[in-house]
Amino acid sequence: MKRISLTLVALVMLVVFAAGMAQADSISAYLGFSREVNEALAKRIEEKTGIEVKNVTLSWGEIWARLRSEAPRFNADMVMSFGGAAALEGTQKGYYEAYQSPAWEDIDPSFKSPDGTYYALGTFSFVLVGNKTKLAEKGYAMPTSWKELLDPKWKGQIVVPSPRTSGTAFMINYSFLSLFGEKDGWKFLEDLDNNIAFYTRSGNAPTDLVARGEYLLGITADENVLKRINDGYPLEWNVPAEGIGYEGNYCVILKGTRKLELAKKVVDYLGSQDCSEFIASMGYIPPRPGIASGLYGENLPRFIDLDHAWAYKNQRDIMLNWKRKFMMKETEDAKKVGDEREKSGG
Amino acid sequence: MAERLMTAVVDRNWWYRLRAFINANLINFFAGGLFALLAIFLLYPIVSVLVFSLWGDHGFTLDFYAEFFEYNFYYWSLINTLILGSSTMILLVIIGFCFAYLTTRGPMWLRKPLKIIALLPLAAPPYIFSISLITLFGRNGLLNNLFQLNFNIYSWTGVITAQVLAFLPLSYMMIENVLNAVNPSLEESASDMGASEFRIMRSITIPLAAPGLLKAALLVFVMTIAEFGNPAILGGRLPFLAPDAYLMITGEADFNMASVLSVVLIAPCILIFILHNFFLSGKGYTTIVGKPTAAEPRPIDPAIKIPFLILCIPVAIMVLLSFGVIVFGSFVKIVGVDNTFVIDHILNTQSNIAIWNSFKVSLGAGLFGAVVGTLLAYVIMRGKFHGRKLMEMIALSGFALPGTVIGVGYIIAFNRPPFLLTGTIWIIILNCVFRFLAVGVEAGISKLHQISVEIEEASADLGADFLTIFLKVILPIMFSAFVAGFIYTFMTTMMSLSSVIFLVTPGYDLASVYIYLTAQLGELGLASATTIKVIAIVAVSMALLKVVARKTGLDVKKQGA
Repeated sequence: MKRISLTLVALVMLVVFAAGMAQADSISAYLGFSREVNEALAKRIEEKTGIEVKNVTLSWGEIWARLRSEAPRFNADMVMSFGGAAALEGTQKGYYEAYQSPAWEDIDPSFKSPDGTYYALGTFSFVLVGNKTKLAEKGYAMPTSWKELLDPKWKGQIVVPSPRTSGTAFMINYSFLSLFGEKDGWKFLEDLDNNIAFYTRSGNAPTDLVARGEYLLGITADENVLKRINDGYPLEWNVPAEGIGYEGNYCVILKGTRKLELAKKVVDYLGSQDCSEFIASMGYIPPRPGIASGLYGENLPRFIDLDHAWAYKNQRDIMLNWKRKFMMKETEDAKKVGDEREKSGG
Repeated sequence: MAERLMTAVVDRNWWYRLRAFINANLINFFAGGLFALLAIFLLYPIVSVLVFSLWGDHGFTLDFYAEFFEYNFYYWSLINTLILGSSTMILLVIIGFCFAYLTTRGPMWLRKPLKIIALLPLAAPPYIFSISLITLFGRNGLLNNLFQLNFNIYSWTGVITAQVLAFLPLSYMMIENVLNAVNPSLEESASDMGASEFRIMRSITIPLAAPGLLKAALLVFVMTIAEFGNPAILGGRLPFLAPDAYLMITGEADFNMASVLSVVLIAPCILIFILHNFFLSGKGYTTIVGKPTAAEPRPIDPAIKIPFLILCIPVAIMVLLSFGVIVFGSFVKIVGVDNTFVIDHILNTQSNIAIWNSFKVSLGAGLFGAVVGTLLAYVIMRGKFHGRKLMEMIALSGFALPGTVIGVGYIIAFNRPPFLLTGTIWIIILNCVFRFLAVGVEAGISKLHQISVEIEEASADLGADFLTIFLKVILPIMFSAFVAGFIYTFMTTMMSLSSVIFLVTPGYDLASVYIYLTAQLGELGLASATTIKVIAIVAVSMALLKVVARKTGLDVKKQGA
């Protein structure tokens, strides 16, 4: 009896591990949109091109961390959607295959690199979100300009992602630096800091916190806003008068892929009218003009003039300055709170 | 005739000599093999990370360490991490002890439910507790609104509560294992002679369990400071090392600083480890000499029972409430916002492939991990070679490192010859085996602390060789440690996230990653439903394990896994 059971267990284990994988016309890719968009995109590509996209959903930082540690032997053929900093730096390091796709020829040059190493599938931005129910309870109106956020009535009611840990937050910060100029920009961030409850670790977290009514207002990535509203959360959003920043969702072919021809076909599809329509329906702004975005509609929102290359180049300095201004302060605040607690406790 | 006899004797001599040689050296062979495994799958990736903390764009540099000590937010995060680790550790040793005491010595009707509750959190990813706590006690939480509490969950209270709930099973399993092994007849006789329950506990149970308690404390400390989910979600403005190391990679893509934070994170673990050795030296308690006697359960004194219950019940309620929220969440549209009943989340089939992958990985990691862990424990405790402490330290280090860093270390180390493993399922299995090795090793060591060498020596005197002793004496005694190692590795692998998120390859999604992504996107319903399915699978697996164990004659329940 003992033997039989053990043999059975061993057999089960063998069967479990012997489950092989079938090979078809497929490529593998790291996808950096939100999970639902990734799944829909992979399905769409397979429908339209017949190429199966084996994929794994990762955040931009995770994708970049992987590329850096996997180079030069990448475990995927493509990346679809990650940030401009990674697209540029990877190009310098020679991570990507250059391909001049005919499908992208007539697309605005701001959506592609001159040598064809990366293409922007679309762009995303950040917006201001508020909790309808909670705002109504307090009798506050949704602010229509970024400056209004400095009003002391919002003290402890605003959540913003931290640029230490979120790529979106870095874009938010340098957008303000570009909008107000470096000096006034830092001043604005400092004043805003007085009203901020805390800096969230993830770029989408403020959407969640505000949707659940934990905080009144949030500055947040626009990716999930539409979905959250459709889910039924009492969430409202707007583009403040001064405008919003933006960042491309870049895609690349990784060097050394054994499926270069298939990957090229996928890039061709990504430049098509059909793909732009899909990207727009998901709430992004597509490379091909004249398609209404699911979130912003027909008319593009007002964008802040951004110099992305400058931002990427100075990322470390901007970050250090940010940490010096706000992280040091945070710890002093924490110390103060601790001291007060000690006093009242002892 | 005489010639044939001669050959036989020579043959036997040769055979005996070989056996004697194996007998004398087998443990060293084992040790060598295990050392090689540890070196490849723990040291090599860790060293790769260490190199990253010292290697800038222009070669060797100490700049990153200088940066760490230049800004107070970095060392403040170190101090916060230490406060979090020690407070969670103290709380969990006390709570874990109360739970374990009640389930091993308390009234029969209490044992099973308390044990199930104490083990329940294993089935969910640790950060699920943050989400439950926010749903219950957030500024717009269910209970906060119901009772008009003015409770701030984004604080120390929140982080520590979440960590205590998440790591209750770890502390409980370790302590229960130890308390089970304390020979009841000692307590029995003390009780017969009129000692009070408190006195017995103070002078018999706790001293005998002390090595195990210390080990549990060490593991809890190390695990809590390495967990990133709860401090990241509930920490508010408080900086902590582990989430910052993780998010430095995903946010700033700053490998070097992340490596520095990780290296700093290892330092307190090494310190704790040295302290632990210092306290334990010369305290080798032995209670199992010969067969343990099965004793009638002794009625527990109310003076002990009631305070213990007062401590355990709120914790138990919190665990149940947290899981209640998950169950509730998987059947309503949006928890707390739109509480209409829906079944869509459970019926969603997208998650099933990921769950199946996770199951395969966990089964492999559990079995392999338990074997390696048990062997390691044995070699460390009974071997007579130098460097055993070092071996134990390396085995434990998998726990001390934040998963992210070891994940990245694995990619760096195993994406090039001679160990080209990335892109396979094996790298995920190996990663989990060596990251979660500590529980199996520690359970084994606690067990061996209490088994007198005399039993093995007696068998050896009676002519049994090493293999016989190992199979007939040591394995049966260590079986509970084996099972503890298996269960822990299996369950943690099911839910482990921080390092496998770097190792999952396209087309090979895992349940934990799926839950994390859905929870991240605020699809709490889907996340909860997937968690529920995983819990169901874990429960069924555990039940199957029990059936198999019963059929094979090894009673898992009695062994107290």
